[in-house]
Amino acid sequence: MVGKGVKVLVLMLLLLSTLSGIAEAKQLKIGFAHVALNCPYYLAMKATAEEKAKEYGVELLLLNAENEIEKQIKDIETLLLQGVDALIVNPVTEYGLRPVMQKVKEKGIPVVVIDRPMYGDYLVYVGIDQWQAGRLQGEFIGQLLGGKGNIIEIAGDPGCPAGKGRGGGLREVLSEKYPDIKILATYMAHYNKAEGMKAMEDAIAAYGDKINLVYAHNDAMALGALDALRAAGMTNIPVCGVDGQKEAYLEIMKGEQYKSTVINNPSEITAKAFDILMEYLQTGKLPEGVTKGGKVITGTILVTKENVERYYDPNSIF
Amino acid sequence: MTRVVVNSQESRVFWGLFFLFVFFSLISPTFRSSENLRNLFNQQSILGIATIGMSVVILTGGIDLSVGSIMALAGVYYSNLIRGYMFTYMPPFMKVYEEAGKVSPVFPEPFSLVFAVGLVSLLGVLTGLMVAKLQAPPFVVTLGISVFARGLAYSMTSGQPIFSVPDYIVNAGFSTVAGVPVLTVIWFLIVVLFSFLLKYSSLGRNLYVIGGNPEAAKLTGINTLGVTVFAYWSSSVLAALAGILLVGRMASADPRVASGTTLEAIAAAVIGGFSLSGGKGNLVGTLGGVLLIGIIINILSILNVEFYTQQVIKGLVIIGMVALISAGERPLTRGL
Repeated sequence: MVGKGVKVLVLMLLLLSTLSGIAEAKQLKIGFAHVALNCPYYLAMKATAEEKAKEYGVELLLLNAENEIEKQIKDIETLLLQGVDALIVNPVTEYGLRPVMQKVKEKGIPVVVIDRPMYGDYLVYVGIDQWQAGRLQGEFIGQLLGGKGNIIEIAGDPGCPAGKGRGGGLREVLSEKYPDIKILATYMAHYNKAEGMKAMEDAIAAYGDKINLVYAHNDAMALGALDALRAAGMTNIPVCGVDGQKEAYLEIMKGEQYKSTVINNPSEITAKAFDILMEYLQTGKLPEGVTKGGKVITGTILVTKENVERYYDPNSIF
Repeated sequence: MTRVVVNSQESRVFWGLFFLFVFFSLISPTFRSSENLRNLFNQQSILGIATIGMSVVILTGGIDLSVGSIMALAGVYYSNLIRGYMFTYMPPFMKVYEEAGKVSPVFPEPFSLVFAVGLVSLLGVLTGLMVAKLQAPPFVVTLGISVFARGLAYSMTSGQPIFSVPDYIVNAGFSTVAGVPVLTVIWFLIVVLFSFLLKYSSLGRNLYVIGGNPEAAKLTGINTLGVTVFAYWSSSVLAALAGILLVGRMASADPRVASGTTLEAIAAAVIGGFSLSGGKGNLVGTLGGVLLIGIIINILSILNVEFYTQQVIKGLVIIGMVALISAGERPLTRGL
């Protein structure tokens, strides 16, 4: 009796597997090896990718490495196995994927890298100009402080490429034009709001009244710093961030401490990457002026009280 | 010649593995492809090597929480060493991509690997000494070592997380020999080596006694100090080796890696039949434990299950296996 039931079950499963094999045949498959999904920025990328996949009528296979490079290597190997026709990658680290990308290249699969830079073979990189973001803020901060003052900098991770740009660009402008503005200290807060708040508390304890402005490498940390400043009653210290998170836009619109941010829109980046990839798959060509292995820069616009209304969208995920 | 009785937990793990394998093969043609299986073994080999070390420590009734950090430290140190920085705390940062593949090691090869593993594994010796001589609790000692090693790994990269390494190390991470991944061959060889050690040497027997019956160990004059130090030293040696092989998988060294490996190794060892109270376990079981964990995540990725759901399922599997193990164990005859 049991034996018969088992045989039926096995037959059904075999049937199921062959059917699923047939169903998989027609659609184009786009793989997306994502770095993490633990904040709205990354979630917005996933949502946009899903929308775009529906728009183009392709299948999206998204795997999340949750900040572990070893997992991402496995994810890419799995995506290759599943026969993806193209790959979008938001890499966990810049160098860790080089060998597995070699495998991708051998299979002739086009790759678009988004947001975080990567060393390896790929078609194009889509993202903002991090250095320019730093420079834009540098200019804005220089003018805001009237050329003189002390800044507290809150960065993300040591050695992170976004940080190198957002910090480096700022420093470049300051040393060129505003030599009397000093960076008192740089704290690390892993792009996280709670850690940004803690870093700000530490800064307040260490420097107190000497602080004239706070510059955080992303809006999440800036918003955390804002909370700390408000709690300490330091409500006239300006705060600047990067990313263009909608909560930041809300704060800027209030016209109080939060003064500026730079657009780094994950939906824009993902949508652009998808478009480039689909066009390449269909025509074998890259967009105007873009060379293989080159960069497509999006966003990187300074947003202040003057223009924030243009960009604020309460319905956006990010 | 002593004949080791196969613990029922090992057979449970392998039966579980077999059924899951058959089931997943039926529902997914991708899963049963030889490339996927090769990937699976390759991907799990590094965890497998680290788990062997962890298992030896667990055998003595201890635990090693520093496995992940030592992996990261060894990888970073090895990368520095091949550039000639043997004892430099903060070597100068290099523009690595341009040098990728062109790095020729300052010291001839087996030396760099052996020296790196040897130096980093001194941390294991320290742990063993503290546990044996000072009666320090392994949990706390290895936790401290973990924080220390991780911090050291970050410091040694001058805040820049990545370096690159010569091609032959990368090849270890991705090539095969007779269709079997090189990493898997290394893993299996180490399992065989340590299994022989545990079965046929007095050192091996003593490891079981120290974990299973510490009073008897003291009374029968076993060299507790030597055996304990050996256990923790082995764990750090294998973790260091695993860390350097991981560098090959990424063609770069990164102080951030292996943050989840420690707990995974513990889970794999327990699923494989090692009792956390010590004195029980067979390394062959860890093969099953490591593969079981790997297979679950593998099929879930292939089926495109959400990452967080994957974690939920993985957790459930671990809980389920632990429940099976505990239900099957005879009640302990000695007090805790």
